Amino acid sequence: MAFIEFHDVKKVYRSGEVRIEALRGMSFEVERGEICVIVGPSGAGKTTLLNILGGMDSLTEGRIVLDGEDISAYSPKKLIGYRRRDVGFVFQFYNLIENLTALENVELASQICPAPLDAAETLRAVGLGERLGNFPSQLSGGEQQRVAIARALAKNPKLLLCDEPTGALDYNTGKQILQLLEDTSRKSGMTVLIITHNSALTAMADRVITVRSGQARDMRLNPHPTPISQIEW
Amino acid sequence: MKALSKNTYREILRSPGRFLAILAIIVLGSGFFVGLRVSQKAMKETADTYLDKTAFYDFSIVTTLGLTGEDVEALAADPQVLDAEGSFETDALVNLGGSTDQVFAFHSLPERVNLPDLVEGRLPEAPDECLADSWTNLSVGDRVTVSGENEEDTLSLFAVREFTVVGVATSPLYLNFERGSTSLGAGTVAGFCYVPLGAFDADYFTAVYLRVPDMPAAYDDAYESRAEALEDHFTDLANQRAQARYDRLKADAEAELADGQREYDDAYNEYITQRADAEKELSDAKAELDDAKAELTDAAQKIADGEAEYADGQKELADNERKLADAKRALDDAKKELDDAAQEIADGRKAYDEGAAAFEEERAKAEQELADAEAELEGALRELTDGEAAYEESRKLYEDGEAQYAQGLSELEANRKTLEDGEAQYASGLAAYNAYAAALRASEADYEAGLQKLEDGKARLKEGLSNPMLLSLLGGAYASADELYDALMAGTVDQETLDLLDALAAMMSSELTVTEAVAAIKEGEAALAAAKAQLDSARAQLNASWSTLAASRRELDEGWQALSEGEAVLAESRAELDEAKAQLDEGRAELDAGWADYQEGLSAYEAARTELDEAVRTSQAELDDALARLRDAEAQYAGGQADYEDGLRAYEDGLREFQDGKAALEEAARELADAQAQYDDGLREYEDGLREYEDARAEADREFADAETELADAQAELDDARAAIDELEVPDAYLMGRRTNLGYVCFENDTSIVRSISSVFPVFFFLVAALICVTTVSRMVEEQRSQLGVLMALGYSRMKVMGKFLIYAGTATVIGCVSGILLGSWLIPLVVWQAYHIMYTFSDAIEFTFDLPLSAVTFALYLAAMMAVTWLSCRKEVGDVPANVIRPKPPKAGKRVLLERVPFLWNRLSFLWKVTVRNIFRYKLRVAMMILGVAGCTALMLTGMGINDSIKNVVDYQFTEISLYDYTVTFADPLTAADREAFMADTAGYVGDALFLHETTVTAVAGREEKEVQLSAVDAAEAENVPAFMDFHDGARALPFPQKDEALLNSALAETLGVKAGDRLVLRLEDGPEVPVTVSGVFDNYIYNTVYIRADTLPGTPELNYALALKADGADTGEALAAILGRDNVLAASSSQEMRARIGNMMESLIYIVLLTVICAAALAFVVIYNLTNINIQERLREIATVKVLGFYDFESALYVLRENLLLTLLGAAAGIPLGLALNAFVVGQIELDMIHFTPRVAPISYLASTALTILFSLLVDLFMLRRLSTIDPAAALKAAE
Repeated sequence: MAFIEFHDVKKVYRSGEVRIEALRGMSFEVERGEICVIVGPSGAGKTTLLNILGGMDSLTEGRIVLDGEDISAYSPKKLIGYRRRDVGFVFQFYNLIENLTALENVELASQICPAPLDAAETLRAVGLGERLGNFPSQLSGGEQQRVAIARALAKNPKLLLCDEPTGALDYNTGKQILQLLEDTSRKSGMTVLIITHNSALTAMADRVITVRSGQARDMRLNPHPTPISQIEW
Repeated sequence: MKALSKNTYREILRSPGRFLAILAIIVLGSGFFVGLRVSQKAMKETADTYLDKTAFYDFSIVTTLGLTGEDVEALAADPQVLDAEGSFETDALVNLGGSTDQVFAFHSLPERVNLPDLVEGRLPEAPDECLADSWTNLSVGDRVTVSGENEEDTLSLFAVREFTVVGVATSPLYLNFERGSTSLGAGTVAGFCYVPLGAFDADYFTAVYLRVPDMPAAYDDAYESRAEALEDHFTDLANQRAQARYDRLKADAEAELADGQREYDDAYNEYITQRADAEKELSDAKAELDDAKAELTDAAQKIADGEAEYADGQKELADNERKLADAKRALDDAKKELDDAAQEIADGRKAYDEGAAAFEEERAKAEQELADAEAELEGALRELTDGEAAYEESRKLYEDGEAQYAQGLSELEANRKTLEDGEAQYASGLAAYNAYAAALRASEADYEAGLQKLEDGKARLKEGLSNPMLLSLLGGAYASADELYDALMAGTVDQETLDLLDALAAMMSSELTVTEAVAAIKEGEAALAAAKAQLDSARAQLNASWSTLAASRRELDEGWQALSEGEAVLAESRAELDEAKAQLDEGRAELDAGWADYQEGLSAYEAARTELDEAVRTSQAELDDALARLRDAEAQYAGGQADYEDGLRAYEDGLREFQDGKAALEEAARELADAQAQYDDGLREYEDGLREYEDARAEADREFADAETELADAQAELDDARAAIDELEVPDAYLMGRRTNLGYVCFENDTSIVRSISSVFPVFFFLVAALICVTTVSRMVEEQRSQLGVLMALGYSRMKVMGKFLIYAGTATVIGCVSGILLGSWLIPLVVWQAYHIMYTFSDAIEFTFDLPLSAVTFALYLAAMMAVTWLSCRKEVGDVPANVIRPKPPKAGKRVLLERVPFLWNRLSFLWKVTVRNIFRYKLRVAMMILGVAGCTALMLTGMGINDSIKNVVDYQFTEISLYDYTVTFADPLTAADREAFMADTAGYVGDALFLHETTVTAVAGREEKEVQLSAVDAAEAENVPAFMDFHDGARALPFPQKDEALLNSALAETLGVKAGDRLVLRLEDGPEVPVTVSGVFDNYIYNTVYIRADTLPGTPELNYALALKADGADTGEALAAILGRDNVLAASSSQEMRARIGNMMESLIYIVLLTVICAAALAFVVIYNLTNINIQERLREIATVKVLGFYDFESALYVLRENLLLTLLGAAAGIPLGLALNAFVVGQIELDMIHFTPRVAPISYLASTALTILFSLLVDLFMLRRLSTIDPAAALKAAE
């Protein structure tokens, strides 16, 4: 049994008379400890997939199993608990709380978790040991994204979900962030899902899922992932 | 619709909550402000309309003896009176069918003034019909019976004693529920009752009500001042009527008395006549008898006397003859003296006439001289005046000259300056010219040298060419060296020849070859020609500048010439001016001398005039003396003449008498003989008569005694009547305006509370509205930053882009203000009237008024403020370049707050509280507004409750802690010791104890402050009893009663006068004297301004005219008041209980005011907290979504935001308490009520309630917001930054 299983997942948004099928029977699997890159054009349903997997949205039909738990059957309240314990999020725009220091941003997540990692330690691990007391506005984009990753990791989640983590960063910084994600996954065996539209990144993945029109069109395993440092785009 | 306008329109629809928040605060602000302001006006207008409709009186006149129809007519005839109507009023016990009697105030039904307003039924027509008070529960058909329990005096006033209610009405005389107090029954009047005048059996009116034409509206300041202005006039009228009433009553009584007296007199006269007749008969009889007896005795005597007399007569006759002769002699002497005197008088008269003529002549002469002198002086004056005018004219001319001279001088100086500048320019030009000329000369020298050199060269060439061998070598082609030279120069020599020549030259080792030499020469020539041309042109230039220089030299010379001429002219005019000045000074001196002469002449003239007048007066007096003496002499002469004539006449009479005497003597002798015969008959008749007379005498004496008793009784009756008339005094007349009507005054006091509250609210709402607008617009600008950038990039002008926000805020303001003003003008008066209607039943509906200026100002102010803050809020963004605006604004950076520097506290805060604290300090404006809004909410509630506390407490405190007495009694006349004892004895059982004191009005003066106050003086002996009636204390400290020359003041008065214990104070008594006192203490007191002193501080012995009384144990308050009022010498009495009740009733309406402030405060809290939380949430949508993604439960993420609200609410409520206290102090200070000083007080429960309610309101908003927060989608966190 795979770590993540999507079984014919459908998501329909209704807005008045309009009915939009964001996911039309998506099925795929991801194994524990893999780096999985999900690529696809805009509007293909990548974000919807992430929302549902992250417990931020409900699905219309189908089943999602994570680590043996059927999260598609969770009540809204249980979903919050799920987000709290099991999922770490990394956003395109970092989404740090401007009014909290780097350390406090991490603490914000770790304080509500049952088994968090030490916040300062995590920040040191992502290379920000010197900037614990800085506010987001005093950090560069890359540093902010590191804080965001630390915040996600500090919860010690089962799954790290990254939505275009490099989308707002320049080439080199983006590469460093991806390196961090790669290292994290390789070192701690964390399952990492990266959503991107940059297909060059597929080279770093253990598993590549191509999404188009709400369906997983292609899923291939990469027996020899290229380290991110060797990828150019 | 343009796309941009559509955008604005949609913006409003898209965020209705935000738009409505602005709208709501503006509706609230403008509505409350205008509504409360208008309420007082509307209330007054409602009252005014009612008073107009019912023809409410302006003045009433009351006299202690009543008034009659004649008075009414006389008053109506006064031009200041529009309408006058007499009214008969009396209180009486009535029986309404129950077991106890009530007191009704009976009024005669008026037809023109103070008309009752029918609520039900009709007006009474027959004497046994009445109109009942709507405040009682009587209705049409009920019966009102004047109770038999009434005193006979009261009963006798009613011609009819049973009435049927035919109508129910309100009366303008009783605007509120107060019906007044009475000396009957339980002391309070239960209601009024109108009956036709015919129902009363009275020939007088108790009051006349007057209406004055063209009076301003009631309660207007103009009304008060007009009424005050008319007061004197009507007081005079009232006194006139009182005098007239007295005159009429007195005349009537006098007439009656005169009738009685006449009757008595007639009776008396009859008695006297009859008695006299009887007496006369008797005495006649007795006299007859006595006469008879006397006659008999006389006759005997006479006979004897006659004989003796006869002898004496003869002797007298002889004496008289001698005396007559003496008189004749004396008369002759007197005649002679008189003639001498006449002569003397004639002489005197002649001397006097001569003296008078001389005096007149001299006087005329002197007058003529003086007139001449005067004419001369006038001439001199005219000359001097002319001289002054001429002098002024010349002076003006001189000054003009000076001015012209000064101008000329300055012009001259200017010219000189110009000339000097010209000279300088000329000099520099000249120098330049010289330098240039020198240069030219040098160039010319150079040129000459060059020319020389060229010529030398040419010569050398020619010399070289002139070798004959050469010519031959050339084969004779050239005849001569000159020809060759010319050909070389012309260039016609062929190359072969040239080569040959050059070769030759080389052989001859000459410096140059021929070709080179030719070239050099040609070059030199050309160079020289050029130099020549340059030189020529330079020379031409030099010449030109020379002529220029010459021309300016000429000009300068001319200028100098003109200048010196000008100087000469100016010098001349200076001399002329100096001369003129000298002449002017001379003229001035002459004029001054002339004036001195004139003054001298004038004073000489006046001295002469005075002298003449004095002389005339003296001479005239002398003449008058002489004339008086002359007249005395003449009078003496006339007297002497008369005396003489009298003497002459007496002498002649004496002579005649003497002759008559002589004849009589002879007659007497004959009579003596007849007499003796008659005497004998008489004696017999006399003895019969004597017996008859004695019987009649006894009977008459009996009858007389009876008549006299009857007369004495009549006399006593008449004396009583006379005494009654003498006792009749001119009645006291009282003029009473509307202010003496309790209902009228209470109404105004009650409206003042509405006014005081209306002065507080608007500021808050205005401020909060502005702040809400700022935060909302700032937020909108932030949200739509990129949209703005796009619009600007598209080429919309800044004004257009900004216009969106201006229109947004403007629309909210216009809609809000218009609806707020309309709603407020309608709703607030409606609500306020609902409250006051409980007490004021005269009108069911308030009259709605619309205050256009107020509304316009409010509207303009709101619009201006909203536009201004909107402009300020978006000015920065719109002013930026589009490229910046189109980029998202970096989020507001987090910052460490001050609290973090206090690790002791900071480390104790839980992590989420830290976040909250940081957030609070992140948006300072919003925090300020939130605190202000919440503080305002708490403050308003505290104010509302504080008003309640202040009024309620003051009254309780005053009457339980300070004024321990139950009644105040004012006496009509000063009390003697006996009066006091009588008062205490008569009211025993009602009044337990009484403190009698002297009470008057004085002016208290401290420095510049003056204030009219009530002065209470207590006898030294009574001072120790005072604490039982008045408890003087200052806070917790009890104050002793003042010693001699000391005074106790109440705190409000001390504050007004600015004095404290130990300060000096002067009391100015009404009749003038000033009494200095030392303030011995300031006591807490809230009602009335009173100064307490010991009576011996005042000069003389102050009269006791006032009393504070304690109710006897177990006595009924009303009955005791009635008992006091029932006493003859009691002018007025009031009960503390009544005052407490009156204020207690006011409290009832106050509850509504408190409710209004609470509702208003709640609305404020809702709008502010809702708006801010709304903005807060919108702004932190992503943050909240992120927190949700991180796994915060709904409640946790809500708390993440709402915790700030709670904290700020607590801070705001805390800040609101001092603010509320200040507001409360202000509002309470505005409430004025019959000399009552309200001290702002806030009860602990009010603090608690206002804080608790504020927190409750905040929690309610939070609850509402909780729902909104829970709908935030965590997926929103994934969206790009807005």
